[in-house]
Amino acid sequence: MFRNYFKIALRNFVKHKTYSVINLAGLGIAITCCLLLGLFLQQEWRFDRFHSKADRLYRPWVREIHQNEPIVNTITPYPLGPAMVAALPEVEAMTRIVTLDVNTQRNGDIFNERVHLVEPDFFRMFDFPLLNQPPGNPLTQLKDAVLTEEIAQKYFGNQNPIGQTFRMQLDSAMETYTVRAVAKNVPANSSIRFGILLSFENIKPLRSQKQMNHWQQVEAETYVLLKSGVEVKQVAAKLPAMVKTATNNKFKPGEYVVNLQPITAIHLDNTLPQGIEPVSNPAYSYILATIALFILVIACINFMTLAIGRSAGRAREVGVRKVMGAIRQQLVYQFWGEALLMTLAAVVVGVLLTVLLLPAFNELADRQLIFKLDSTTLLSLFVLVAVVGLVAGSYPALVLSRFQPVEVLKGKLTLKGDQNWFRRTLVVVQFGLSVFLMVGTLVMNRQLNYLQAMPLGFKTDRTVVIPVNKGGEEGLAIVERYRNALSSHKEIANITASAFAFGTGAWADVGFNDKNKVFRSFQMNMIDPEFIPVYNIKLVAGRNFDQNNTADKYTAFIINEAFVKAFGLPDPLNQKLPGDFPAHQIIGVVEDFHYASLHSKVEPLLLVQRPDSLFAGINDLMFQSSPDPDISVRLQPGAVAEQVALLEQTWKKVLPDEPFSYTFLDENIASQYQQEKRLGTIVTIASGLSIFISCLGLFGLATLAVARRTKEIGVRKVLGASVGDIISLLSKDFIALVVVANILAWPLAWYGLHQWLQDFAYRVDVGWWLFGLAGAATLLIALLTVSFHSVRAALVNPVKSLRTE
Amino acid sequence: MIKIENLEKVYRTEEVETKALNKVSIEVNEGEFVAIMGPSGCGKSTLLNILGLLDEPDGGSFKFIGTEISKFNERNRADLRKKNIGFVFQSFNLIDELTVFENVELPLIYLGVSAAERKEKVEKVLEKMQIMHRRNHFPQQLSGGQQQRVAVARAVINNPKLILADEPTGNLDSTNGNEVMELLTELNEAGTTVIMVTHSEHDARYAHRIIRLLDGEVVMENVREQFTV
Ligand SMILES: Nc1ncnc2c1ncn2[C@@H]1O[C@H](COP(=O)(O)OP(=O)(O)O)[C@@H](O)[C@H]1O
Ligand SMILES: [Mg+2]
Repeated sequence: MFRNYFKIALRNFVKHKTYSVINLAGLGIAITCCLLLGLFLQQEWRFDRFHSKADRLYRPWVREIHQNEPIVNTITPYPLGPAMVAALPEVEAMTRIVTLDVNTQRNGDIFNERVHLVEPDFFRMFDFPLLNQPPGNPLTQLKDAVLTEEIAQKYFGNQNPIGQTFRMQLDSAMETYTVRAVAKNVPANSSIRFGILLSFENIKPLRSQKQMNHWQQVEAETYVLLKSGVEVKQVAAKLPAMVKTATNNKFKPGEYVVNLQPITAIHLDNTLPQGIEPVSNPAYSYILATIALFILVIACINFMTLAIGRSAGRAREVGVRKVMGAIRQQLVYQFWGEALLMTLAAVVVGVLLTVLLLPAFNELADRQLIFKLDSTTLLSLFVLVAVVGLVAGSYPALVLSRFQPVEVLKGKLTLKGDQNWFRRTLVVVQFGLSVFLMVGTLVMNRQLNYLQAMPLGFKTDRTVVIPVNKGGEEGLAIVERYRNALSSHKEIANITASAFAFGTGAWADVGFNDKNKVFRSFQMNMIDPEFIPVYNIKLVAGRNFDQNNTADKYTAFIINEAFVKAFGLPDPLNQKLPGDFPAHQIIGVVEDFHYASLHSKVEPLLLVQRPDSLFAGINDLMFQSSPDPDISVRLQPGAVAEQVALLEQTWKKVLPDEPFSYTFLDENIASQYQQEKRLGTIVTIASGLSIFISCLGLFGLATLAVARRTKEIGVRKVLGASVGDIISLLSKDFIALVVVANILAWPLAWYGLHQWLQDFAYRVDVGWWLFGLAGAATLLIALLTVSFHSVRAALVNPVKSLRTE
Repeated sequence: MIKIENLEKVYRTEEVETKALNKVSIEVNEGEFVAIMGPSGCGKSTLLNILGLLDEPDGGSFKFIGTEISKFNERNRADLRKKNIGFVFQSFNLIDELTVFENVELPLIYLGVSAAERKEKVEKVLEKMQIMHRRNHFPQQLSGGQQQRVAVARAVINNPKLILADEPTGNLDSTNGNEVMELLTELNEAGTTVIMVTHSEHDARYAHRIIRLLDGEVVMENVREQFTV
């Protein structure tokens, strides 16, 4: 019996090629989308779950109320971890992780690396396996190091790295470190991402005792492992008492709150500020999951509408089989079997396409996803086949199988009213989803273009940014040496240095108590007198820093208009900062420029050359990115590569011990919108595909409709209908459906996009004309698809079509 | 074998009510060859479909081999049908996607006959119908007469006690039509009861008895011998 079903399924497949190819292509593409997006989402949603103790690992974070202003941090103060271990017997292990950006040296090659300083428990809390090494802490000495395979390969090639040495500068001088172990590369779905591990003890010489015990200075991520069987609530309840004891009653209740975040929640929680590594916007995973589902639904609908369109043909088969003794159940099995077979074929196509397209998708999504046919994948594929097959095959299985042989065999079976409605509803849903995605694409791209075209208030073109990896006086000395070396080259005239450049990280966050003892904050950057002219930032009042005015160096501030507004300074040049700051002068006001990404409004900003004097008056300072100087060079018109080469040669000549690297400013700025841009591209492709699949279905339906109405068309033509009449006769139905789909999809799309745009401080309005555009586009595409058939049918000689009966 | 009494069938559409069969009573004995005749729309097919358990009557009684089946449910009727009745249609009703062999095999599949046995039976019947050489062809590749022979082969494959034929020669030329009539006669002579709907007086002559319907009622029953004499 099954062989018979299989045979007839196969023959049906071959005989109705258009139909089969449409189904196969539609489902195949949809399954490819699902697999690719599924791989992506699997990684997003299973972040950090590879740790065998993941369910017991927590990251404490701190919420401090400072003068009614909450300050939330996932980067924690140093004393937190030890205090938790001391006070909470439920804590089985603890490590603090602090990162340093340092210069390293191996055989004359200089690199800049981010090193992670970790405590001994690190190795038993997390699953970062060491190669050929018993588990345990390999970092017993201060100058021991663990490298990942990748870094080991980079430093030592194919030599055995264990016992090898390299040099690294954490403090004032290069020192020798010895490789004690090699760790497997950190998996892509880890929130802790290291290349080099050092003992935590290395931080102690670099920080004062006061800093190491300070509860309001944050620098390290802290992780704790709870004992098994311990309820996290239990531990959380003890934390207020712990804070109270550990800080000697320094804070009022509720003023300094420690919370625990499960390690598995870190990656998709963007309500907390990021820690050492960036997190993902969880909305984006939901958007992608929705898109995958949409496409799959669209392909399933194709399957169903085409099955309905073909039901007249298949009804006869149902009738004959029933006359021959088949009962309904057997036909249900047969039709579902066929649908499952088709889905299975589509999954094979989907898997092949996935393998083929994965590299391109990885590029697009900036991931290193791997597709393996392991047991989980096979299981999910199995579930996919089952669900899609059962859903897609439900119409023929449940409705066709119910046909009564008497009626069918009389040969006058027509679609009943409710079946027609069902089919129409499906087409409307299908096109509604496509319209939704298309409007989404248009609005997303419009928003991205808007952001990219928005004047930022400073010049971004032809600018190269070179990071200096040393801080303090040493960093400034490097800047001066480089500036002098370049001064002999006329072609490079515009050079400036600042603590923070654009697009590579947040500027410093400064908190102070104003005259009324209210905690206020602003952003800050340390710049040189060249910064404002080189970046072409507009001064609206006062003047720039003067190179020759020594007083300017420490006590002169330049603020932006947002600062003026936020702190109510009607005559800023003759006023002081509204706090307890040492003697200073506001010498200039600049027009607001977008030094942060356009996700946020321009915040109050203060520019200073040397911050020492300013720092004497502040209560809080937060660097989210390194304040080591960044040198910005604006290139002259002409060959970029030659000028960059000149920059590198000059650097290597005067600063042979410093690594040279550079980025282009406009690329850095664009990278702030990477997530949106990737999402935009994925949504664009997805909506294109969804429309393509919908049109495949429409094409199939039109084929069937024309085939069914061949005779009618012939008769009408004989009676005098024009080609235009026939085309409109055949297209009318479909066009009406597409119009209804548009009208239904618009409000939903508007709502969804409105939500998405809330993420941006500067946003386009959704714009009703975009809906019109999407509507016109879908209509046109649908019309073209249908007209391929209707025109052909209309042009055919009526004598021919009448003879087909 | 078949005994129906006061059988009624009413079709209701939105406005019209058609009495397709009005108190029809007929008896058909085992081994008979009966022709049903009458003008178009008089209820012949309706009657045949009810006799073939494809359709339910709205009233009256229907005894099939001694069992009252007018109240049988769909499943029981399907069961009774596949074991006892073979069908031949005017428009052949072969499945286009199946070969000759597979079309003929179909009833055996639903009877749960093993593959080996099916092969043997199908080959035997194809041999008998002289279309063995076409066993791997698809219906569209055959002439009308050949298609109807396949349909007859399919109808007799499970040795039914009763064969119902609804205008079996309606789509055939006279040569092919006669061939099919010869086949039915042979089957009847071998013991199968045959009930055939036809428009053709010529074909009706193959039957032992003719039942004439008009507007859903039996107007005349006569034995062929009387009729032709
Ligand atoms: N499914 C149906 N719905 C409504 N009326 C029907 C249906 N089938 C048959 N009829 C009507 O019942 C009558 C008998 O039809 P039928 O048995 O097919 O006639 P015949 O086969 O003798 O030409 C006709 O008037 C026909 O229109
Ligand atoms: Mg009829």
